[in-house]
Amino acid sequence: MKNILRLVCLLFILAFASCRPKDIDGDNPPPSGAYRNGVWILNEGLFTSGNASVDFFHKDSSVREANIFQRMNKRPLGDVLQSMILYQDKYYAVVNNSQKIEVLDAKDFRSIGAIEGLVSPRYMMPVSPDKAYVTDLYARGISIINPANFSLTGKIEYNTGGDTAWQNWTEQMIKVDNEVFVCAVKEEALIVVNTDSDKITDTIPLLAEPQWMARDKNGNIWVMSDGSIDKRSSHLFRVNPANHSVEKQFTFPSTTIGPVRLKMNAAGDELYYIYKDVYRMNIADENLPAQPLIPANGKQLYGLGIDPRNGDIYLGDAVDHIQNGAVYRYKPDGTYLQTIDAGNSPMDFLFVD
Amino acid sequence: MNPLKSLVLLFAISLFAFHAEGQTDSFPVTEFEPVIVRARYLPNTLDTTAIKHMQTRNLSDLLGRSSAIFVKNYGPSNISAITVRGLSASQTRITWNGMELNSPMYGMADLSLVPAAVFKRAEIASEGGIGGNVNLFTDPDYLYPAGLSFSALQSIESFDTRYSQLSAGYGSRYLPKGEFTKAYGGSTRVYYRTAENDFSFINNARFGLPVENLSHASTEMYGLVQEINRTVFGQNDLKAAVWAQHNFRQLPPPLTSANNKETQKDNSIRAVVRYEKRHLLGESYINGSFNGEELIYDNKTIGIHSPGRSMSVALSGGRRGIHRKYGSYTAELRTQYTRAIVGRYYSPKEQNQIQANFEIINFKERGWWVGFNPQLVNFTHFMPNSYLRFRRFYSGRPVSSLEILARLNYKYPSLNDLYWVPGGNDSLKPEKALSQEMTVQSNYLSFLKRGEAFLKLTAYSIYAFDFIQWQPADGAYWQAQNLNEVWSRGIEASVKFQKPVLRGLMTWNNSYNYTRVSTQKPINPTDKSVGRQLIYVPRFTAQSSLQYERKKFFAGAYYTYTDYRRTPDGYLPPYQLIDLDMGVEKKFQETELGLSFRVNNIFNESYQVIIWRPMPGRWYSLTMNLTWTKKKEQP
Repeated sequence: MKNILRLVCLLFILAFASCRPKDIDGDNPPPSGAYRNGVWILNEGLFTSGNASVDFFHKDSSVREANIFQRMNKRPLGDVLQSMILYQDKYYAVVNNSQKIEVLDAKDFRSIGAIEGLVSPRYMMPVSPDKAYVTDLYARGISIINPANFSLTGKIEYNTGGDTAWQNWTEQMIKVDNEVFVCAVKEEALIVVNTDSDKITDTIPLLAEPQWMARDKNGNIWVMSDGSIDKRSSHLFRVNPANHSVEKQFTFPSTTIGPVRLKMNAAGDELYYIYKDVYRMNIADENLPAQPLIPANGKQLYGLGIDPRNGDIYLGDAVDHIQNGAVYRYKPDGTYLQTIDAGNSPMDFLFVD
Repeated sequence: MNPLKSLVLLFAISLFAFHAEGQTDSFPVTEFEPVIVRARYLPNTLDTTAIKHMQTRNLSDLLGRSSAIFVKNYGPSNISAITVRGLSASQTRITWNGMELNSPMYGMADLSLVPAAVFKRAEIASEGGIGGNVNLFTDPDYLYPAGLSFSALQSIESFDTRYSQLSAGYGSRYLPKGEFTKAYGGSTRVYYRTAENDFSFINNARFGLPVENLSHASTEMYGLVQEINRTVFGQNDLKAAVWAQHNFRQLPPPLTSANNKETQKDNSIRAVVRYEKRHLLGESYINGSFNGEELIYDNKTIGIHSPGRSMSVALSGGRRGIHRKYGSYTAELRTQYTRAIVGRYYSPKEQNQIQANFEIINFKERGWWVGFNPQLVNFTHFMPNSYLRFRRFYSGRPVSSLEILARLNYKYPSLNDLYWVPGGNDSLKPEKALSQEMTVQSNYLSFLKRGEAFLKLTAYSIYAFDFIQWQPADGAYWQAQNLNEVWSRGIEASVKFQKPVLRGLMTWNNSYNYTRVSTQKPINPTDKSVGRQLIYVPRFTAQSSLQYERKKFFAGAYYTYTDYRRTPDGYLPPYQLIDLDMGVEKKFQETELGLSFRVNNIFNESYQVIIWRPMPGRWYSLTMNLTWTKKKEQP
């Protein structure tokens, strides 16, 4: 009987003997509250896990401050951080699956409001101090918000008539004078919105699913589309915003690999994108580059950013989208510089002076 | 909750138990012998009393109360996924009367859709799935005693939860165990459950931790279970059961996500038929089953209406025999056809499975089992499932046994893994696992003065290859891939004491699981997860319950502890829950009235099993049961 009792006691001791895991967060220094001359690392987070986060990398000291929104505002940022912009001394963080845009003070990253009532917001494009467009995955339109008073003010109807809302998915935007060019993903086109009338005025047909845009030094718009979902070809287009014509078209060689994250350097003459590896292409080139600038070497490259100050390349590695990722920093010529820890699924970068 | 509270309570329970040891010893222990015998040397069985007392709940709640198995519970109206030995829900097979409940579309069985009303017996076995099996049965115990019975059960619970159940049963003859005669019977049970689930919780996703009420979490479930059984002198048995069910639920979003007003409907109809013919030294049998399922997901905000339907028909036949000298054997052939029509597949998908089961048992003091269960899917994938088990009995006091089991198991990918658009991958290989386990079991027959003690200790190791994981492939879309190798190892311990006390029976049940499960191979050069515990698998879980039953009265205290669980980028804290229940039954001639009351989570613990998915604090349940029985005269 004694042995039995000993065993029972041992079981309960073991039951309560669990230790606090060693690598639990809590050792980070307090946030500095000063976010200049650095890089915001936008960590998308795992869908429905509510672990989107924002880190800040101080370029001068090479120090990374982790999870700043949570630590400054004592609450999580939300579910799936899609994009973030700096506009009139405020950051606007578009949190896709939380259906909101968090508005943050640029000085210390404290929340000063939120724009709610959105459906599945993706990107924000200010067109005037009191008007901005927000693209959406499911809203059947482009939302109009007032970034000054954080209100939802209207909607540009966009309905292709598909059965499901995502047939009207709109993605990245570029503003040229009084026109905003919007990726209409499922329509496989660019739609053009007049910022005075808030109406769609034109549609520029493309191929595959256009999602990424960049503008070069000549004012031309580059659009990259992904066809891999249907095992079709993916494409890169050059669009003239003046006459809405497609001037160049490049076709990616694989139908199973899809290109992501199109970026332009500060000079506006070189494009960068991830096509499993990282590629660089001069805007004057007549063909897509055959050799990568930075090979992935098995890494899950997910985010891409080009520092407008020095051309450094920042690559986000999502690893498996479950554990925290990493960021690799390279010189413009592809020489490796350093690795920076990141949050879950680092997908974009915002450079600030 | 403060762990100190739990320790104090456990200490009090312990004191009570051992104080009771010194109480009256005049109760004839033999009255409880059938219970004790049933518990010996069987797979882990869920307490049949617990199943009876939790008629208004589901399999997820039952496992949580009666075992240390961890269930990933997304909330009271949401998905509940079993996690046996740290493996995924799709790697543990849930069966009902031998028919697999795991959805062919998404691989797992949602335990919240398995109400306790649809089974009377449950066992947890190592064989079957990679993580094992949970087998549910509707045993035809209505054959004894014979007669007609009607019962009505009504339960009122917190959060506007109502449960109603009506049952009727008929048995043609009194049929004591082991006695063979002609008899037939049947039972019908209908149930209806609604819940608002609008409980209050602390919202730790918002500044200031405000207390809020959960919204958009209501559920409605109704169903019917019909059984028909016939036996002719115990030589020809026909058993049939049908289970039809409808469930509608609003899906509350995680605390960090806005409400898209998502809803899900699950409709199912399942039927099993079994015919057994006994011979002098064995039996032959034929089984047939049909499983039709429909899942309709709706998200009105974003305009998604996603229906999925599947249908499986299975037929099996076999023979079990006994050799007087060497032992027994089983030979079975099973074939199954599955068809699924899902909006997110390019076209309807079909699957054919053929499985042969061979088992030889040499059951002596040093016994061994050999099982070979090869499976062929779509005439392309051959999966040679097999196992080998040794058992050594040590007679005397206590009666003990040592068992060693080695297994090779395969799991074919779910239809969603293969065909979902986008990301389904029809070139996936089956997952494969090599397992070993050792179990020591002991019965202390005369322990605690006419009481008894049962101990079971299992150490196991499961190494799984070609683990399927959804990851972004070369494009922007996620794809199912055979990426990983996962190693699960751990210890499962259970101790049970039973002793007659105060003319009743006191049962103290304890179980404890230690689970260490981690990936073993980096999926890419920067994967740092190798060796780390998988997300949402607690290393430690413990369960303890103290129950007292005396004729028409029962009372119980139930404790569970769940350790830290990794989340994608942090940890969820441990939680401890304590429930109490008690009930009485009173008989008035042919009518019996039962009344029971339960308090759950009495310390109002605020906890989340899955991050940003709140669980209810303290809640109550009152159940009334009225049974009318017209017994037949015994011959």
